[in-house]
Parts: sequence; C-alpha cells; structure tokens
Amino acid sequence: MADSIPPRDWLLRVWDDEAVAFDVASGDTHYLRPLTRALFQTCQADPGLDAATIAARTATALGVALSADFLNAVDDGLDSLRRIGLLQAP
Amino acid sequence: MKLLQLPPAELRRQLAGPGVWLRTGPFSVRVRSHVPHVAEGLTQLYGQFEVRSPHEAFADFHVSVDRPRGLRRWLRPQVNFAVDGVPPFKPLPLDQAFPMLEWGLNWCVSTRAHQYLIIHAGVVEKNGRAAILPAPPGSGKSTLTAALMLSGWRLLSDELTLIDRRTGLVQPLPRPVSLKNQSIDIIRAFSPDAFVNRESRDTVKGTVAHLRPLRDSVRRQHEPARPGWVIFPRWQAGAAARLTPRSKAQTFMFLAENAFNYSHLGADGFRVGSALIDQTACYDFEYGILDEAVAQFERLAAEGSA
Amino acid sequence: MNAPDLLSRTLRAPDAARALSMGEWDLLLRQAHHAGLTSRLYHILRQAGCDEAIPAPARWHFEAADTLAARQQVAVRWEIAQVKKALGTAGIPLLLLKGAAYVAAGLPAAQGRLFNDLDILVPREALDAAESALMLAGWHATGLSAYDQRYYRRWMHEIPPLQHVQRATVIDVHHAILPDTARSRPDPARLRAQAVAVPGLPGVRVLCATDRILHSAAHLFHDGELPHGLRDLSDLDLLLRDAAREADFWPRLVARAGELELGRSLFHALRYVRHFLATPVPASVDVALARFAPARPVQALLDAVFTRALAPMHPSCEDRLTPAARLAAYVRAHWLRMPPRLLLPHLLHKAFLGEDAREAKAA
Repeated sequence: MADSIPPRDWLLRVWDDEAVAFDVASGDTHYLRPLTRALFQTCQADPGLDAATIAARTATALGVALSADFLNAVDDGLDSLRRIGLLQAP
Repeated sequence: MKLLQLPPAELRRQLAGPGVWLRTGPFSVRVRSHVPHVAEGLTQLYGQFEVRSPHEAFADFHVSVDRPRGLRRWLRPQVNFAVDGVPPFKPLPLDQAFPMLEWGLNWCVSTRAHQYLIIHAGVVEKNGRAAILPAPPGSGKSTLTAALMLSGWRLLSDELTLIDRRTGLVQPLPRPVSLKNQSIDIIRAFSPDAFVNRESRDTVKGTVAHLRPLRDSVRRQHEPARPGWVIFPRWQAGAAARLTPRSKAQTFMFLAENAFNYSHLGADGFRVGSALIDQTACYDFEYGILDEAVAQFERLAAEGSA
Repeated sequence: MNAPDLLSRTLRAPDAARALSMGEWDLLLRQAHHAGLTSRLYHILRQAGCDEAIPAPARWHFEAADTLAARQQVAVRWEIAQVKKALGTAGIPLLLLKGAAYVAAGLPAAQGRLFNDLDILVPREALDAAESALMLAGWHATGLSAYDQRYYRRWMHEIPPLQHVQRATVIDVHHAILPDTARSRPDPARLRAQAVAVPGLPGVRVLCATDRILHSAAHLFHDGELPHGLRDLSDLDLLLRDAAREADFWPRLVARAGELELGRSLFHALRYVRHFLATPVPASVDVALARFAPARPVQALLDAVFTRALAPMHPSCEDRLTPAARLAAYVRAHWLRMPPRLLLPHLLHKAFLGEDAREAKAA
C-alpha cells in the first residue's frame, strides 16, 4: 500500500524543522509541522515505502524512539499529507 | 508644490470643483469633497505631500467624500466615500468624514495594487532595515508605530505594508497614522512633535484621530527599504519589554492568512512571502511601557544585519 | 446611433492607443475598470504589439488586473476538475458553458477575462442527481432568500446557484440555455448532441463553436442585469473572430440559429457587437437574418436602449436617458424570460426590496 509523490506542481520552503507548501493547482497553502515535514522528506527520498518503513526511517532521522505514541503521530501525519495532496494514496 | 503651499481658500475651491490632485507614496489621488472636515484634515495632516494642478491629467484613484442626496441630509447628516462614483461602503456619520477618506484610500490600495504583496501591518525603518509590525486590532500596533516614528524611525506605513513583488523591498506609503481611544492621549503626551487632529467619536473602532507623518518620513517616501524584521507586538499592562524568537514557518502562515491579497497572487504570493521571511528575523514582542519598547527597537536597529 | 465610448474604440482599434493623451489613458482605465475589461484590454493591446504605448503611470493598473485574471484562470481550472470529479460519482458527463468553457477549450475569449460562476449543462432528467452529487461534494444553495429559491425552482425550473462551503465558488446548473418560460426554446438535446470534447481534458465537453456563439448572443438579451454588457460583447467578438477562420462558418451559424429558434437573438447580437466592436460580419449574413429585423420604429427604440445599456457603466458613457435604457433592458429581458403573469409580481418584488434583493440574487 504505497503512496506516491503527486505529479502536480508544489512549492516547498523549509525553515529550521518546519515547512510551508504551496499547491500550484489549487492555490492552497499549507503548514507542515516538524514531524509531518520529516515524514514527507522520507517519502520524497524514497517513494513507495510502506508506513512501517516510513516510520522507522523518520524515527532514525529525528533521533527518536519508535514508541506507540510516535507511530500514532506518524499515522496522523501521513493522513495529513494525503489529505492536502502532497502524498497520493494508490 | 506641497499642499501646505496651497492657500486654504484655493484648497477648498479645488476640493469642491475639479478635485485636488495629490501624490501619496507611489499613488496619485484626485480628491473631491464639499465637507469642511475633509479640507481641514488635508490641511493639517497632508501639508508635506505633493500637489499639482487640478487639471493634472492622470490619477490612480478618483475619490470623493460627500454627503448623499435625499432627505437624510437633514435628519441625520451622513457622508459617502466613492471611488469614481461608486461607493464601496455604506454611509457614515458626517463627523467621521476624514477617517472615512483614510479608510477609503486604504481600501483603494488594498483592493487594486497587486503589484505589491499587501500585508496588514505597520512598518518603520532605521539604519536601512524595515521592521514590519503585523498585529490584530487592539494589540497596540499603531501606538507603537507612532511612537517609533516620533523616536527617529522613518514611517513607511501604519496600516498597509507594501512589498514590491519584483524587488522584495518595502514601498513607503507614509500617510497619517490612525490612532484609537487611549492611544490618542498616549501619543499626544509622548512627544511635542506629535500633531494629532480632531477626534471622531462612535466609529466602529471607537474614538479615532490621525497623527501627522513627520516631515522626514514624507520627504523620503520614494525610498524603498529592505525588510529586516517581522515583529508581532502585544501590549500588556505591567509587562517588561521582551523579544522572543518566533517560528518562521508560522509567521509565513500568518502573513498568508492575513495579507490583503496573498490569495490573489497565486504562486507569486508564496514566492514573495517566502523571500520576505528568508530575509527577516521574526519575533513576538511584549511590552507594557512605550519608552522601553522604543529602547528595545533601538537595540535591534543597532545590531548587525538579521 | 450614438458613437461608442473610448474603451470600445480602443478595443476594436488597439493601434489608436499609440495616440492617446494622458487624460485619455486616465479615462480609458476608468471605463475599463467599471466594465470589468481592464485585463481584456491589456490582452488586446499586447496582442497588437501596442502595450509599449502604455505610459508608465498607467502600467501597474494593467499588470495588476492581469495578475487577477491569471489567478482566476488557475482557479477555474481547479474548479472544473472538482466539478468533474463530483459529477463523475453520479455518472453525469460534464458539459461546460460560458467562461469556464472558454478556459477549458483554450479559446481567445478566455484571455484577460474575469470569472464569476461556473455554468454547466446537464440533461433535465439528471438535474436532481447532479444537485445531490454536488451537494455531497460541498456545494449548497446558500445565501438565497426563500423568494429567490422559489423563483429558481418553481418558476424558472432551475436549481438555484450552488456555493461551495470552503472555496465559496458558485456553480449554476442548467438543463437548457434559456428558461422554460422564455419565448424561444432552443432544444438542449440538440446542443448536447453537437457538443465537442476538449483536447487534453478527458471527460469534459463544451458546446460547439456555433452553439457557444448563439448561447452568448441569447444570454446577452435574456439576462436582466447588464453590468458587464460590453464584456459579454467582447467575448462574443472574440468568439466570432476565432470561429470565422473556419470555412463555412457563417452559413452554419445562420442555419443553426434557425434550428435553435435563436435567429432574433443572433440578429440583435450581431448588430450591437458591430456597433461597439466592429466585428467583421459578411453582408450575406445580414441578408440571411433580415427576416428577424424588427420594424424601423422598433429598431430605433431598441437601438436607443441597447447602445446605452450595453455601454460601460461609467458616468462618461452615460447620458440622461441611460437610467431609463437600463431599466428598459432589464424589463425586456425578464419579459422574454417569463410570461406576464409571473413578470409583474417578480418586478414589483425586486423593485420594492431594492438593493437587498439584488445583493441576495448575486450571492
């Protein structure tokens, strides 16, 4: 069940560990909090990973433990990314 | 020629006839009005701005502030602001004629001047860098903007921060500073250089008056400034002056949501807004005493670049 | 007929812009602003290579208007995609009308244009399903008085405009291009049968070239409010100039007008688009449409009304007869749309409520 990075144009700007993203097609602007930004970075580097791998790699990148809370937060974050359209569910 | 060089009778004649042509920052305006408060307000607050012959051929905005026709003239005196004959707002009491002109001119700029990203914020400049002060109403932004101008900062604008889309620089529009309620007395007391005109009461914002922009700010109105800081002021009784760094991404989102025309500019709004955030240091600023606030800003201005 | 305004003259002969004085540029921009045509004018000037004639103080006005027009194009494309998705869930094909159609099909009439609502055409049987599908996707019949809702549903047999809860964009769902109660009844099945696909936008269709033009012509005279009469004429002008490049276009247009009972609308539309914008129309068309010409006194009256009602709504384009002309155009449009028994109460209702009624309708 792998998401893909969409072909539509997006503009992304990162400051420290947060980001803002602009969806050129819709004109919508979104804020990405640190975890969501990190998740997106993981997906961008390697599209098509499953949720578990995304969580693991992001945890490593952030230097945090793979706790139950973290996994929940990852689910929420991936949902956000799909909802705004930065990730496309297959 | 400056407006203060126009004899008062001539100013009134032009206002009642072909209109007065004046230039404010990058915009030329033709103003018509038969209302005495308008003539008075222009005389007191726009003295340093350029006027030309009333037969000047081109003006960016053609505005009028006049009493509507009809029975209401005698029942409850009102005044209408119109842009080339079309009133964008409902009429207001005659007492508010001059503030209505100011609000109307702001409306013209914020709804049309899309060559700029227009942020709802005050903006002042010192040592070559501009401090942008966005804030919701009631946060003390205008009081702080006024105090900074009166303390040696150049006023760029009290309400509309214009970011040139091509250069990323702040374009000045140093029109009179709008003050409300307690601000009026605070600023009158703050400096002998402060000239505040007559108060209009019972407006939607409470009691309103305007502070005359200082001569130097008007003189330099065609000099854009590089943005240095985005600072969110918040007045809190008894608070010590405190500057706290703020998330850049969240500051960007605030600007995107609160700028007048961010959504009209599409991808370019995102580009210009991000470039602005790139160049600026972003802070929250809490203060209780105006002098301390000014001192904090002096320290910022004295530091190296952001 | 009285001479067209500076804006019309510049639109039809952009080279004339090279000789304008600063005072004329000032007036031109003001007329264009009132007519909603600043970005269209800019586009026409650019196309004719005359934009370098724009004096420096006037430049930002055109560029700012262009910024808005470009942004709206993006918004329309996005909206088209959303509507297509929503209707797709109900298996209803998307047929776009008016401005959205011009954008989808990449027509010259999309250039420099500002957009209001998105108009679509669905079969009458599919109206309820379309409304449900759109409501599920977030478009609701909000902001209308109970009177206006009844006006649309019961009297005009239309769904009221639907507004999206988040984006605040508005969709007008039509099953015909003129109301059931109107005196002309162009058959929507014929329109749908000739509709064409849009290259690059699968699942999206628009009316064919002749039908687009006839719809624009009909709409001009059947729509009561004419705040953007000149803009609609400008669209029609661009549609005609573009379509006329095809061989046989004019005879096909005339024939189709007959089939769709829109001969009179076409006659009037061509008359006024030529008056304002000097659109080239072959003499053979005048001959073919001559039977739709009204008697001379009626023609004189219509001219007096429409040369005023279609002009930019700017004081410089008005004379003391203009208010009466606008009222006459409004009444006439409604007379064409509704039988008398519905018309009088409707007009009284609108007149009595005044401003509020118009605002509610525009919501």
